[in-house]
Amino acid sequence: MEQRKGLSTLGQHRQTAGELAKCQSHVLRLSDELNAFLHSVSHDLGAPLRAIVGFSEALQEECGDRLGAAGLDYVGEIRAAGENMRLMLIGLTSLAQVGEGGIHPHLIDLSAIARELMVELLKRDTDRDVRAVVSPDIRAYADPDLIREAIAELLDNSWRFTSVRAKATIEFGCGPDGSVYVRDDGAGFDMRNQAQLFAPFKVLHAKEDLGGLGLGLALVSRIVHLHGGQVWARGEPGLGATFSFTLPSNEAP
Amino acid sequence: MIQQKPVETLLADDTSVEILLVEDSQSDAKLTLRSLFKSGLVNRIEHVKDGQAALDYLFCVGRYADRNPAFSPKMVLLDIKLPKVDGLQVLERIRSDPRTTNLPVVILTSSNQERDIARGYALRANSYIVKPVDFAQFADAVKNLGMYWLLINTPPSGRSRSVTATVSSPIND
Repeated sequence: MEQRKGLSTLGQHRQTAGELAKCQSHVLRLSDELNAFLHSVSHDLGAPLRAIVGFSEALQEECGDRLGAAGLDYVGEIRAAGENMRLMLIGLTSLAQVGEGGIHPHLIDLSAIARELMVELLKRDTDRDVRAVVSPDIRAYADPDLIREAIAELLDNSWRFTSVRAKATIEFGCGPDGSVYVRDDGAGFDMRNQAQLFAPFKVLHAKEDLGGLGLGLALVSRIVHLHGGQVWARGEPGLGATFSFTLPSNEAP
Repeated sequence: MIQQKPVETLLADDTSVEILLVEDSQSDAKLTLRSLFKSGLVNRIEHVKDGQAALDYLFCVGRYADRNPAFSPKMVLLDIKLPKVDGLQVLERIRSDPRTTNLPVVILTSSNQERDIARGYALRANSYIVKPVDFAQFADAVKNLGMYWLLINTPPSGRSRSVTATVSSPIND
């Protein structure tokens, strides 16, 4: 009796393992398909986009005198929309290409990267009064290029969302649970919208206000997941936001 | 042979064609032509929409049977994804024929696939340009390549230059 029970448990394990393997290969195939789809979308939309912007320019240059002020304004809008779409395509392409060459993790000093990136931001925008706080010696196994990109996106995100403040603080640190975070006292967000934060092209604040195409956090999420980590956010409208991620502390995932 | 046709006819067709544009996308062709004409570098461009027409033009067969084979464009601007005969096959034919083997061919395509780029260079494309999605960059690229291949570059044989001289001298006299 005991033996039979043991055997059936073993059988169940085998079955579960088999199903898991099936699911994994299914997920891998879907991910490949999604990437191929993103590639062809970003590629094939290029030609019509070039035509929209190109012929708008031709219209402005060759027929501008007959268009009148309103007509010229409309053509300007078409060109601006085309330019916006081009930037979105670039973002989409880079999202599809993230980690294409595989990830190559080594032990990285994340604090050093964050410090460099903060200095770049402070130099780029000297008008801003931002206190940048970087906790030292935060290390993790990660792909240096990819993790730099992820941290850059998070800092850039905080930089833009604190632009509403005369004085702001952006913090790069490590929580008691070992998660790495970027915290700011900027515009924040409503926790009810948390799920949308990491989806491509979801912008919770009007674009004209704070800039950004809504791809940065999608990129962060993708990079962290490629490393086998988790990413999440906490925030409150008007009080700021904290973006946290984990990276598996062992060697290569 | 040149004297057999009136000069007007020669000027009106073969001799003055500087670029053979092989492009099936109507909008890309129009934008390319506009950029080239706007640059003031080019007076005549022959535009064909598929690979077969390109070969017919270059080798004076089919609807181009009446074309004078003594005159060749200074360069070919070649798309890769083309109906009937694709661009790389066109290039292969151009290179394997002694009449066109050295003709400058610039590939202008939306394909940035490694496979196409490698194949293009293996077939001795003179240059491979991926069409920039940004229109301003696209217009610049077209203008620059027109400038380079028509003004700066010296063609492989003096033929096209001597032809121009032969034709223009009766007009000047």
